[in-house]
Amino acid sequence: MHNQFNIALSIFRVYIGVHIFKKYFFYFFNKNILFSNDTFINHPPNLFFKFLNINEIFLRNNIDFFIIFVLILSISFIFGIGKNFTAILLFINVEILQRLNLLLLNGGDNFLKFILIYLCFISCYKYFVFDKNLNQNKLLNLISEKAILCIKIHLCIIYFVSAISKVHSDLWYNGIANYYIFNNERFSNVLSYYKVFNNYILITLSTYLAIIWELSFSFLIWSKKYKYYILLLGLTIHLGIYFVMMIHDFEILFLSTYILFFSDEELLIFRNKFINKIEYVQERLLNGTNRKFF
Amino acid sequence: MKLINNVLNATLIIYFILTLLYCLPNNPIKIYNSNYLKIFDIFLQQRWDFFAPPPKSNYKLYFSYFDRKKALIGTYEVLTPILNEKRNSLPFNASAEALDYIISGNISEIIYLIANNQKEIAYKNRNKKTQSNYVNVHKTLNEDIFSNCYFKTIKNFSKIIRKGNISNKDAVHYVQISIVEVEIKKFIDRYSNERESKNLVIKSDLLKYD
Repeated sequence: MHNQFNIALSIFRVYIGVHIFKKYFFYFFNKNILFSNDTFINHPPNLFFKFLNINEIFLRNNIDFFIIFVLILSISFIFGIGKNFTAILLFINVEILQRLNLLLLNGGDNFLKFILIYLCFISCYKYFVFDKNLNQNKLLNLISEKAILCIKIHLCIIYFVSAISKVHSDLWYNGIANYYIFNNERFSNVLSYYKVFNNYILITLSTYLAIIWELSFSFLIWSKKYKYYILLLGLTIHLGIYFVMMIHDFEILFLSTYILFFSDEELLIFRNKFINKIEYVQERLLNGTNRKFF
Repeated sequence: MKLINNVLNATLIIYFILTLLYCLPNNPIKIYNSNYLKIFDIFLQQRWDFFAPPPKSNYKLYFSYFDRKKALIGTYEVLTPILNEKRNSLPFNASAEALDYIISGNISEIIYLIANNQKEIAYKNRNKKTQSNYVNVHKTLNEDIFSNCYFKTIKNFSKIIRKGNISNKDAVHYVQISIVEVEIKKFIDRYSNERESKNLVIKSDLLKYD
């Protein structure tokens, strides 16, 4: 049994490592405020730590260690050092850090946790690694395949639940929800001050498009014929949110999972087409230059 | 291998049915099986109702500082500068973003508590007509809000703002915390020159600094 997604998985692994490193690198400089005991934040009692009988005060007192450990683990993960064992340690540590300040979390962090759980079982170490020896055990390959499927299904559940929740809301139903979202001070950036974002056609179409796309994603993504269209639409919507609203990590994390819908064969075809296109453009440019000078 | 494959498939089907059930809005199947879903609350908590419904208001947080004789020293709105910093320091705005998540997160929790308390007040007074009972219940529930961890965080944050804005911080003895809801103009009024309507969500008493 061969994994058809080795290239996509390797790129995805590198991105997840970079994503975690970037996040906790910035948190490291504010670690005392965000996580420690000596902060203005009064953390609510944490059920998770209580249930597992984990000493929360100890964790907060040693927050430096946990963040530095996550940074080291994320670098190791990027280069495939320690493989699945590193993935497991990374998941545990990210989970602890997320639980230590629940107010910092958004949907992207929530999805990241599940991605890390699934990555513990995935063999994503064929490319961009120091040690290229892959364990070709049939059982491990089977588990890995199922875990890849889990990320895809979870993404579908997220979009589906999000769409169902939106349909229930009057503002989404009436096609004006995006007006309120663009005018929300917490997430709107300078771009959303432009009057075009108050245009009734743009607001109505973008609101309905978001619901229709989220609803249809879970079904059309499995069709070879429509997969590219639904992913392209997703790319447009997520990039639109990225540029108009201040929700950045979230958007890129969701977009990064899209690569898992492309097999090695498809990615190689894309690459070859891309290279051919560049060569063609280069040739045209050179020929054009030649004509001009000679 | 086939057996293992089947077992894995069955496990994943059950897992994803439970996940979907946990994530969906309340429905009869979810309510009847809520006991099985409790484990999700502790280990696999997730919420995917992004902007559903979208927020119809922005919030402002005011700190008013008073001296020993309870005379006003100054009032500061603290959320807008954080959001401006978050906007102006893009893409390296991690600190401002974190602060926004903490302060806005605490405000959201307080507003959620107030909404819950109002429901509770209405429920507890459903058979009683006396005003005094209403006032007593209201007072007790308000005290709950002022003593919870979210409000304490906001109060602690007011000390940081005091330090940054008032040169003689020892002169400040009391703080009053107010949360104001600024409604986003209705879609139909989006081009009108009228100002957004403001509602006071909560205003604390004068809170003494330790």
